[in-house]
Amino acid sequence: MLLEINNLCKDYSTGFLGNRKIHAVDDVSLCINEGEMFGLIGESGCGKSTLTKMILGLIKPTDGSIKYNGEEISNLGEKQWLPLRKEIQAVFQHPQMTFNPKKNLYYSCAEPLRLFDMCDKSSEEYLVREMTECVGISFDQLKKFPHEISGGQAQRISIARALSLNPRLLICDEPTSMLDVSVQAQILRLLMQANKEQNVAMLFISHDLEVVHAVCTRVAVMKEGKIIETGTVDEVFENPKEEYTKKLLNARIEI
Amino acid sequence: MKLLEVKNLNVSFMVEDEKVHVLNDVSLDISENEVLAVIGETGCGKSVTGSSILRILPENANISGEIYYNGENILEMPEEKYRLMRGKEIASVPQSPSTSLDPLMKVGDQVAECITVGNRINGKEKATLKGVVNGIFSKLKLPRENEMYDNYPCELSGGMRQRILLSMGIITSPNLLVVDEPTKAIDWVLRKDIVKELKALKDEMKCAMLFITHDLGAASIIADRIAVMYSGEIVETGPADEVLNNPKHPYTKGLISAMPSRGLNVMEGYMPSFTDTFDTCRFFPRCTEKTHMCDTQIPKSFSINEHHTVKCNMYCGGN
Amino acid sequence: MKRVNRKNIILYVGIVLTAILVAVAILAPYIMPYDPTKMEISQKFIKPCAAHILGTDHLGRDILSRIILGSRISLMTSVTAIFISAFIGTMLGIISGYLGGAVDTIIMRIVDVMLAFPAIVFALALSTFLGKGQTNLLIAICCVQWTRYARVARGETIMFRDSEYIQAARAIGNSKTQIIKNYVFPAVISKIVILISLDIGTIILYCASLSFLGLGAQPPSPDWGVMISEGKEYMQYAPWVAIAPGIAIAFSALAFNMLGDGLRDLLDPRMKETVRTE
Repeated sequence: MLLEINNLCKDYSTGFLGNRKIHAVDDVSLCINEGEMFGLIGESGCGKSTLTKMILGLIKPTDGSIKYNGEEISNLGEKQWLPLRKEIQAVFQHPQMTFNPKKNLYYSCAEPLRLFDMCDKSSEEYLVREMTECVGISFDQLKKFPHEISGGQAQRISIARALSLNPRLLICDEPTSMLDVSVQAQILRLLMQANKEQNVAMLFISHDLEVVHAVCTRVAVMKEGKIIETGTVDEVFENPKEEYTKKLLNARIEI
Repeated sequence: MKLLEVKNLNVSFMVEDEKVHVLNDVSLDISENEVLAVIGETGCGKSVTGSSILRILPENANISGEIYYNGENILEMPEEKYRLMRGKEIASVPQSPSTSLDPLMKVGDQVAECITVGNRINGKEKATLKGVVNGIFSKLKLPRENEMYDNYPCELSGGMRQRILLSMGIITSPNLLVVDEPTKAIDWVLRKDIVKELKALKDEMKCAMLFITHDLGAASIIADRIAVMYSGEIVETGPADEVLNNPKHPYTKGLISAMPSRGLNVMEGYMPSFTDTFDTCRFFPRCTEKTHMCDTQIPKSFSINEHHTVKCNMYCGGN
Repeated sequence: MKRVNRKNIILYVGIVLTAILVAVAILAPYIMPYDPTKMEISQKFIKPCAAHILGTDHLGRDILSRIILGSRISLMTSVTAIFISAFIGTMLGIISGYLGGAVDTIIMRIVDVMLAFPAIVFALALSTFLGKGQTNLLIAICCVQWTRYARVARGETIMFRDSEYIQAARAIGNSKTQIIKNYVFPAVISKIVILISLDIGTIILYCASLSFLGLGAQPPSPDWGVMISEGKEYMQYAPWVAIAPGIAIAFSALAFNMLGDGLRDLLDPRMKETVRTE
């Protein structure tokens, strides 16, 4: 078991005196095995993003536990998280917005290598070249700034950057929802290839059932902060138990 | 006679002293009561096509070609005459529901404004107007249709705001509705509902529609005919069924087989940028079916049958 | 199709005026016609004429020379004041905005208290407390001025703090200091630069008013504020003694304000022409 989440909760206080509680994530339990593609389906506002932020240690849960390789990680401080960053990486939804807008893309690509002292100055350029060419981006493109490249290219670079640390777990938060169909196919193929070749496990978050169907092996359906159904892709898609899952499946457009 | 006929439309923009050619010889037509879906990826020029028909392109645009609406060339029409026609006969539904509504105005008033066009109205007229607006709202299956009028945009969900925008487009019963990416900014679950409602509405109002989208699924529900756009050119036009199930152009084939449910097959490469120049087919670098002709010849449009045309050298022999 | 619009003209004029001012300050020793501190009582209150273009004051010193040398004092004081306060304010603002919580509350309450005093009154009180002199004038101005930068920097930081790229930067392993240094600071600095260029005119006026009140540079140094203060005694029969430095102050404030306005319009992304293809 690579990642094990038990009874995870996150409440936000709102209202005039902070007396109204919103359960953004409510008693969520799930587990991801080594090298598994795990899909998480849900509409916008169902708590998916809060869940990913908790797994990445960006916010602290109100209650519950997150275990990575058997070790509790939800209560770690910023310093203790650093070695884990190499193991758990993320790809975000808005590709052009995941990079430092004031620096060129080379800086962003070399950033993880520098942060973890993975190489000296002389081999840095070689490593960056190698890692971007792996995802089909020529080295010249890296002189550009994030807003000068297309969404598909930016998403490739952000995948390359995440994979450069050889993570065991990659959290993909709607990686293709802003992209066109043909670019989506390129990106999904890239992720599937990384999963196969480097045995990276993925938590693949999406609202698009077709995509989850094509990419994942197991899947969980999330609604209003709760996980209402979990199972293998075939089980959930062929034989949904919950009304909500059926409604989602009905919203597919067959062509 | 066709309701709308676009002939050899070329649009370019002047950006920092450079001419950027965005549309290249775009020709399309829409008959009365027909839905033409223009399909293409981000940056292929499909929205510019819509904006040209509505004449809402920015000032730095150069337009050449002809756009006939009911036999009249609207590119040569005086601004004042076209202004009266736009909204009444040719209406549009803008792209993003989150930014296209005035956040400080009641949604009902915004919809009503489409009829009054700023004219002052008295209390009695206002009551009937409100009735008309509420009628539209209920047609679009907006919940609590009688209270909806007094809501502000921020109080509504994305799907509801999209419906408000749709009602602004149809309230004047236009003959032609230009809908730009109605499914882009709304929840995946609502996508099908919105498109179905749009279709029902269109059948009821008997208007023609130019449906601009990147979403093949949405187009398959509503479109009678489909035009596929690539890099500022229309590469394939034909009846919806034929284009989706029996695509002819290599790009259309690639696009359809890239869908997750159709195998997630990868088309290598990217769409060229508008600043590039072309001396071959624009799809040539990515094409998997290129022939010896493609090196040298820019393809013309060829007819497969009466309704289906393709811009590809493969079909130059007449198939 | 380069269009020279009204905003560009303001910027160009601002640049030219500022350049003149800076050039005068740098070249002061070479272009002043007389020694600005040399007194010749016999030559006092000479009206503007060919020999003394702006006349002489009550001690017979050449006013033009004093104004030229005074530009150095004026510019140095205001530029130093503004950079020190911008630096302190930006740092505190970023820290306040990024860390939030108790740190934020404390810093922002201090800012509120500072803003509750009228700036001049606060500077006056502080100068009385610290004593007269150029350094103390600087400290007084910085104490008031940093709050503006702190507020702007904090606001900008909060806007960026939750953006996706900062989240991504954290996820990839940046520490808090690295994020502030490499991500937040470059994002905030452009707003601060605009604010600095807008404020510099105001600061010149501040400096002048405080030294007019006798808090900054002390006579006989040729500070513009001091010159007006001295000249006001003879306003009735030798108005040029006070008016000439007054015009110099107005000119420099105008120059920097135009530069600031022009820069703001130039750097404001909403003013830029964009292509919309989608």
